[in-house]
Amino acid sequence: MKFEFSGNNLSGKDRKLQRFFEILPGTTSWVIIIGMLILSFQQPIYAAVIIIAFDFYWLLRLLYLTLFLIFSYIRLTAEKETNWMERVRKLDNLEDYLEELTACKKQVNKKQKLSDKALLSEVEEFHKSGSNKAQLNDLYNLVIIPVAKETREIVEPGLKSIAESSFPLKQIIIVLAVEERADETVKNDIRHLAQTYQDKFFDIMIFLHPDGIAGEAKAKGANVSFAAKKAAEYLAAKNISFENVIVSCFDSDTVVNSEYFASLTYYFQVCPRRERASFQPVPVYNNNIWEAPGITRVLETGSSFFQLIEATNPEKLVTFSSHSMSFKALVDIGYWPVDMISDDSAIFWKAFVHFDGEYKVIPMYTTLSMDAVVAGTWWKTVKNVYKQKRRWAWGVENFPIVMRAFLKNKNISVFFKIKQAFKLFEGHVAWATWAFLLTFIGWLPAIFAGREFSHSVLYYSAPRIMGIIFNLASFSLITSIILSLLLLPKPTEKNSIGKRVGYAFQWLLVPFTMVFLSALPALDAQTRMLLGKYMTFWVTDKKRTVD
Amino acid sequence: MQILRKVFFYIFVLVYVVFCPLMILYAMGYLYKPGGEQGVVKAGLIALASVPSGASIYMNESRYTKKTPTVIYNLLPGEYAIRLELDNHKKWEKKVPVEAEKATVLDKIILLPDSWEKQKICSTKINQIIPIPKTNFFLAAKGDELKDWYLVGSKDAKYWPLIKAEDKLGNCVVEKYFLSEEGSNAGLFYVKADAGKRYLFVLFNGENSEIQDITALIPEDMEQIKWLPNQENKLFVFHSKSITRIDLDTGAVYPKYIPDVKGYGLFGGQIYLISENNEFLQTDYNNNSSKVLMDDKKLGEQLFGKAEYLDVKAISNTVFLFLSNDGKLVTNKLPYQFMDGKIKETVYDNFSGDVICWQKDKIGVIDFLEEETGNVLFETGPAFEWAYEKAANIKQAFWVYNGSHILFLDRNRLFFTELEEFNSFATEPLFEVQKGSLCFYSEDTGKIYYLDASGSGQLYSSDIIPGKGSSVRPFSQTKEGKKIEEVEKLKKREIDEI
Repeated sequence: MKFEFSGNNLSGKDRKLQRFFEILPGTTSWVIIIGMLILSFQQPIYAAVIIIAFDFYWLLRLLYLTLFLIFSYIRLTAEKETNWMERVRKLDNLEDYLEELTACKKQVNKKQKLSDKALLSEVEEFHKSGSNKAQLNDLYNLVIIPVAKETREIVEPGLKSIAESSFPLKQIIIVLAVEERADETVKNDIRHLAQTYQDKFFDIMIFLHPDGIAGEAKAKGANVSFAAKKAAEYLAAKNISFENVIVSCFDSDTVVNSEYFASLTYYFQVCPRRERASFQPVPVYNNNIWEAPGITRVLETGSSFFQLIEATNPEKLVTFSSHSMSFKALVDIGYWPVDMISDDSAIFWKAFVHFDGEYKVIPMYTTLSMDAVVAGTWWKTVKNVYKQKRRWAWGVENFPIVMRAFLKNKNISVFFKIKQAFKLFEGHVAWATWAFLLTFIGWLPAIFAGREFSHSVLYYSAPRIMGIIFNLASFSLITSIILSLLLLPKPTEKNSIGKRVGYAFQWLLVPFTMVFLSALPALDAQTRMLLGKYMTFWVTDKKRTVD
Repeated sequence: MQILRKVFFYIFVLVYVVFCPLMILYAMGYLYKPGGEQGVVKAGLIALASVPSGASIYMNESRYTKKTPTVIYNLLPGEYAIRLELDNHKKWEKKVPVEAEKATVLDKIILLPDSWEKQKICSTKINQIIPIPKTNFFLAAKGDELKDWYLVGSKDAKYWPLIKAEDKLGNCVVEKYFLSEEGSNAGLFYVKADAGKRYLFVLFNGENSEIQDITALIPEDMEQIKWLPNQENKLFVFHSKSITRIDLDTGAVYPKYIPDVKGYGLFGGQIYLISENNEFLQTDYNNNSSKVLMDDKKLGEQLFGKAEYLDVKAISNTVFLFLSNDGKLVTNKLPYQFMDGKIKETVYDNFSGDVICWQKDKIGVIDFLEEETGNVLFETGPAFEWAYEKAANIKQAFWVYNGSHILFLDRNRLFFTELEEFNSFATEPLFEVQKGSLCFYSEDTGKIYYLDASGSGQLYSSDIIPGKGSSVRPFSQTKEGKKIEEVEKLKKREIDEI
């Protein structure tokens, strides 16, 4: 479906619809919060009943998600030792490879067994689909790295990590997408980097994104789209078919492991409809995790967990942060939105709408690492974290556009539209409200209890039941602590045990972080959209101690 | 993974759909009692909290596993015999009804000790204690002269002489005193000095009490005087069926600025009046914006007609008490008059909204919160009941523990009554105090201050609510107090030598 995936330059009915759907999430969130406040005061009995029902729902959902977090983590660790490059090579001879895989092999190692089982399933599915094979020698990985104000210290580790890939470096093309408004220092750094790594890859190019192009916001999406267009011209000139190019849009601080591109290529190869899919790794924030304060570590680990959980449900997975996709698909849909902040999630929805719902995200069980927010002082870090989370929550800007698209699209089934719309809407509203309901509002009926309520069985039972629920929820907390410790890199300094123990205790900050650094920024973002005060892009401060 | 996800999803949905309603029903008091004819029953609970805590609980003679404070859940409706036992304390027993879906809350149980511990406060012989209502202070008088009067703080156990030793006014003999009933730290003393009788207005402030001679401002025929806390600069004097206002800041007097008055009271910066025509009025301090609250002549005659003077007390903006000079107590809530007989005094409790009133031999409670009007078919007015009817001569009463108990002094014995929602009052005698003396109870510290029954005149305190105030220690004397005590010792030695 041809659809202008933008909330700008609308008129008439489209404008009205756009505003209506912009107002909806924020209004819903505020109605829930204020409604529960009022209900706690006016009808504490009803409020207490609703809160018990909600808390129990929250517990079950938490346990459900924790279960899949564990499954996902097991799968992630199962793939840690996978030789992706070997798989990629063997896929060139699909039938032989399939035969090899189906031959009986007794695996003693359970993780290996799991990995092999997944591999067999994926290869079989691809084989059954009858899709064209993507031969290794034909494939290229195009990596776009946007730079706004990041210096060499931030960008180089990422380039270095790509240069250490097991994937043939001569099939990797690097594009450094630099903003024209960047400092000269930054530009010089990028030029030096390009020179340093010139001979490593197929090519490394710098594209300077001009400032002030009409219709563009000061957003990463505009920069990378410009770079992608330039890359398209380059590829065309080199006679490289777009179908054979996997484009990865990274952050400037993204660092990959040596098997990353091999893994990506594998997933690309075995995807039956690779031009109708994005590829999403698990983001971790390990570049500077030990320099970050506890609050940041807990939050960033929570983000990684979220992605791990989402990976178990590809039907509902949406691209986030650094991701990859078919370059052909990117060109077909018209590149990333140039006037939206949340380009990472917007690209998925844009593709989803363009291809009439025939688009999905394939989870990759491999990680890539980025920087946690660190900004000098604790307070500045907290402020920056808040701003970052608010920017992430600004992904709600997709909702009105997606809804308008759904209303116009006759090709996606109604059921599927409702399902996707609900997931998008509910996800954002839950993000903005649940922490408040759990932490504050849940206790209000008892505080506001009049004589009638304070002399009811419910008045005494409700806190008791909520206490049991929260105690059961601690299973999730303990699981999160354990998994987060396992995901952490080794501390560079001594006293690693002390550091890890301290890190475990920092999870006790969860109630504070969930309210003030997760729910509140989300509510902030939704309220801004409700009021029509659209956000401008704010580049996250990135600091890293250079070894 | 997708299949696994779907399986778990439906399992969790099933768990939620099945258990959530059950959980809510359980929370509301619904229980499933298998077997017999019971099935699903509606249960109640009993919430127990005692002071001191940690009492063993017996329910229908069976010992409950937990101690106070606790909640006993899942009780079928009915009556339960609850007994609390704590070492060195008297047993507390009560038959407690449990209703379906309701909590029977007994969270203000006070366990009385087997024997009362007394803490000596000071060795100086005190003749009388005069409570300053609704404050943490009381006055203690060793003698008749003003210099023998002390201000005593219950919180920090300190005392200060009202007047400095060198002040000549100290030799004045106190004939009368007036205190505010609303919690003001001030008092008016009518004293006999060499030069004649004087009115001294004292702002109590520890060792810096301020004394102001306001004799010139006070009308000669003053019958009653009132002021409000934090507004001690404005005094309202009732005399000759009128009200005179005195502004202490400026020394201005507005004589009889509200005439034809037979009763008054102050509340919320307003004056509430009963006029000679038996109308009930409200006006501001300047008597500029006056409002008639009740002008039904017949009703006014019925309520106020025979009284020469009425003391008006405002419980709230809508509830008033009127106590006449002949002891008739009426309110503005039906049935207006709750009891016959002569009421000596009333004490209102801010927390519970109840009022204690007593006659010589009876003490009762008016519960204004019991009132239910509006959507109910049979409206209920405030409830009144006599809590104790076997007294000899009730002199004082205090609200204790947020309006859950009453402490009253009958002749020279203290009694303690537990008020209950189940219309039963349990009254226990406590101990005796010095004959003819009064007591002071501080809700902040939970202590009663009294003069020892032996007649020694020594000031003691005992814990009514243990653990509420600071640990007991003798009153720490101020420098002034120490000096006075030393002078007395010296005088006593001189007398002995003589």
